[in-house]
Amino acid sequence: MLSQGKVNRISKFDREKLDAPITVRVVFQKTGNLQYFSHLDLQRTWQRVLVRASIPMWYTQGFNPHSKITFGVPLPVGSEGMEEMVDLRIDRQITPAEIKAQLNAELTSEMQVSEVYIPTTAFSDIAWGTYQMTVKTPGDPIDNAAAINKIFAPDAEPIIMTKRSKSGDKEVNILPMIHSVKAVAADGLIKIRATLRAGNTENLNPEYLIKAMRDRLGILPEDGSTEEVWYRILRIGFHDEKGVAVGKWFR
Amino acid sequence: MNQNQKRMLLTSVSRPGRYAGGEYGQIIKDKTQVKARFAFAFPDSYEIGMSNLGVRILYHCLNLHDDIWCERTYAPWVDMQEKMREQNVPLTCLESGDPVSDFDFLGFTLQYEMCYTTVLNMLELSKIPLRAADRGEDCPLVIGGGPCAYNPEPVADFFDLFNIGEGEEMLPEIVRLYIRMKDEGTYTRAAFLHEAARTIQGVYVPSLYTITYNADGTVAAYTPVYDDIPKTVTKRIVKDLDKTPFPDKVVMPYIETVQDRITVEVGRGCIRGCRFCQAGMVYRPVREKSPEVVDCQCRAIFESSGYEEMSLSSLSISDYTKVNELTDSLLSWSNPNMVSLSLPSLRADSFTRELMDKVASIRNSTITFAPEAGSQRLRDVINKNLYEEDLMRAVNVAFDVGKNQVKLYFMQGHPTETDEDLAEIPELAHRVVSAYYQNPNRRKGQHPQVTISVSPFIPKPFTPFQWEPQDTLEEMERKQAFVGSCVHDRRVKYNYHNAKTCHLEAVLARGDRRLAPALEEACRRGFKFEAWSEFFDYEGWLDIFAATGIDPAFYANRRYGLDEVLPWDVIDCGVTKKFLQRENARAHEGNTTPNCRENCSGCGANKMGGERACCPKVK
Repeated sequence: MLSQGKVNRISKFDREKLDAPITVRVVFQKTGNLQYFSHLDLQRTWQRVLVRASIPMWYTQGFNPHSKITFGVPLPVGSEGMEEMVDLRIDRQITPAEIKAQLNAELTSEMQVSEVYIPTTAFSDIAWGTYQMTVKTPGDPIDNAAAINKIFAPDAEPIIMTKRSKSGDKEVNILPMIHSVKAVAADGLIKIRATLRAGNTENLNPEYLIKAMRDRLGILPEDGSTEEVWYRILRIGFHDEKGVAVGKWFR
Repeated sequence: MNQNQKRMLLTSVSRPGRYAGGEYGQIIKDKTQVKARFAFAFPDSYEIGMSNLGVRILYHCLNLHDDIWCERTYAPWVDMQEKMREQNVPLTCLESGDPVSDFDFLGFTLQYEMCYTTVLNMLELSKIPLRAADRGEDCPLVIGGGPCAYNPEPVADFFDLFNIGEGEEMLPEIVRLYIRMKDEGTYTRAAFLHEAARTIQGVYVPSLYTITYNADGTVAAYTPVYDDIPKTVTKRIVKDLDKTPFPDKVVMPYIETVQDRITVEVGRGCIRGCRFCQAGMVYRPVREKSPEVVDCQCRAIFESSGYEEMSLSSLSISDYTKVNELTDSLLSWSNPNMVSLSLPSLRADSFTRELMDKVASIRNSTITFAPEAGSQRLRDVINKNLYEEDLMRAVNVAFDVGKNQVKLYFMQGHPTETDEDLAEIPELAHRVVSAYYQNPNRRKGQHPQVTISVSPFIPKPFTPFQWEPQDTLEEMERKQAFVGSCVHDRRVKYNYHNAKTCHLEAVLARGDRRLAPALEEACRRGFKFEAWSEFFDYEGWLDIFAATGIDPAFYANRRYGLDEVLPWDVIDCGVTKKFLQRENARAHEGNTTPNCRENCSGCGANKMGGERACCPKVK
């Protein structure tokens, strides 16, 4: 039984060496079942994906050579992502289109690459992440949407929550970490677009908004039935402090 | 399980990646287009089950058939089980998310005896009756296979059918028979089981054999209920390992599992014949894969996986005849691709500098050998065929290249063992420590660390020691303390296994069908994951044995009669009982038996045939 060989794929060893390694940004989805895998799992997975896709990664020199890959802001478990980003260091000639094609051949439909380009922004510029949340809960969606907009308005009552961190639990008002929340009713559901603090220094997990809705509004009961009560969170993009998109597309 | 249900469950448990599915490499088929659905169950956590090579192989073999869809399922962790019961969600398969009870087959691989309660636990979670006799026509056919199927009797009442031996051909044949009978309209559960037992070699249908017992509790006889099924079930092997299907693509777990790497067998069986070792007997005849095939399979898996580590699987890798040729060809592509090679189960006497250099990696400073007994006398009794000089030469090879940690595996409680033999275990470790300091090439400024790991002897079916009693629990624990008291050097670290677990393992390993009520009761009490020390409840087991009228000592601590009908005599594993008796006698005389390459000892497994086997052909 012979190795099948992969169609339309040039081995990285047959590509021409670059004078110096360069960084390329890969934008991908992490949806469906993949929302249940942690950031650590994602990193390990990508190391292997890059190898089997024969991407000409640059390896660190030394006793334990390894490729350098850097991810954007970790996606919380239970959220899906449409514009996740990873930066790669490559050291041989390869076009963005080839990178995209070679990667997509080695990925499932739940993690497809949408864009590959040379980045002009840095992950450290990321200050805000935007989420599209869909909520199904008993009650009138129009009333519920109005109530949601009210509790997350900039001039609303502080929302004090216990935030877990390495240095222990902390009581934090999450309101300053919310840029904007806009809820509307559509097709019996509530659609919420929320822009929240994201990045290394300060990050607000969208689940806190769900928790606030539960605590303050009594919607989304935890022990509710599954057909009538559910929510879904999709991260759709990032921008910097000035509101400029980090990543190529920002919807 | 719908997506909302899944979301609610998975966001409330630890390590949700265990239950998510969606891995790269999983096989998805259209369930309306297949004729048989097979749920392949591993009775332990996802992390353990995903590491198993046998599952990878059989998943591939079944899915090669367009009209068969094989999916995977693992035992949900305790927190998930709680949620599932709360929400009334049954056990499902990862690929489709459909309940296991909807499948045509539910196949369990039985890798160790301590998984039996988890098997029952998974049946219960699937809402499938525990006993085969209670299952209706709509229930999946429950199949067992794997090493523990060589004595399936303790769990016989819970299975419709067992696979004895290698499953690559047998398992698809069973499913094909099912499809054929369904197509022809001749299928009933009973007719199928009878037909499978009659026509497919290696199939054991426990309900088709009645057992009678003697007044002293031993087995009197096994009687098939039909004249046209075999009196003893002969195990199945694949004749040519080069030609048997092997997955060139594997399911890639997203979460970290126990063994997550390229794994390819170089052969099956072992030429050595250690007298306690079940694997060394039941996988005979010894057959090898060609090095070109192994290389090709490793390469294919590398290309489809991107794994950074590769391991060759074998009972004794350094006994593989083409080991140097193979490792050379592997390294020619693995090095430039930054893939590291590891070789498990190295024997000290065939361990060379050349092999050492090939696997020497800076990160790993430990080398492991298994002398199994401390004294030469006892190593002869167990037929280890290893001399202290071999071990000293091997550790020096490791010290020469800068390694300073040695792990040595031993067993306690071998037949004829005395305290003098036991005291030799730490003594041997002390001599390895001295050897380190005497080695002029050792890494200066470093101290050695010798770990001795001692596990109690468990008599296993189809070994020359199958008749031998296990030490009583008190004696096992006394010996563990005694070995500890003989360690006089802080550079020697002493580990030992839980003797209570080993005691139960012996009961289950040599048990018969009368253990079924105890297992059933254990399941009722919620026992599961007993290979995990935190879930093992020895006192609970004693209570269950008392309640079900079972004397565990009858199975664990009794010397079985050499002429007694053994519970597993209904199985023919290739190696004859005469050979095992001969080996048992030689053990008590302190005589060794040469390995299969030096001289054929007439174990009988050559009657099975097989390409690239080292056996003389049967006349």
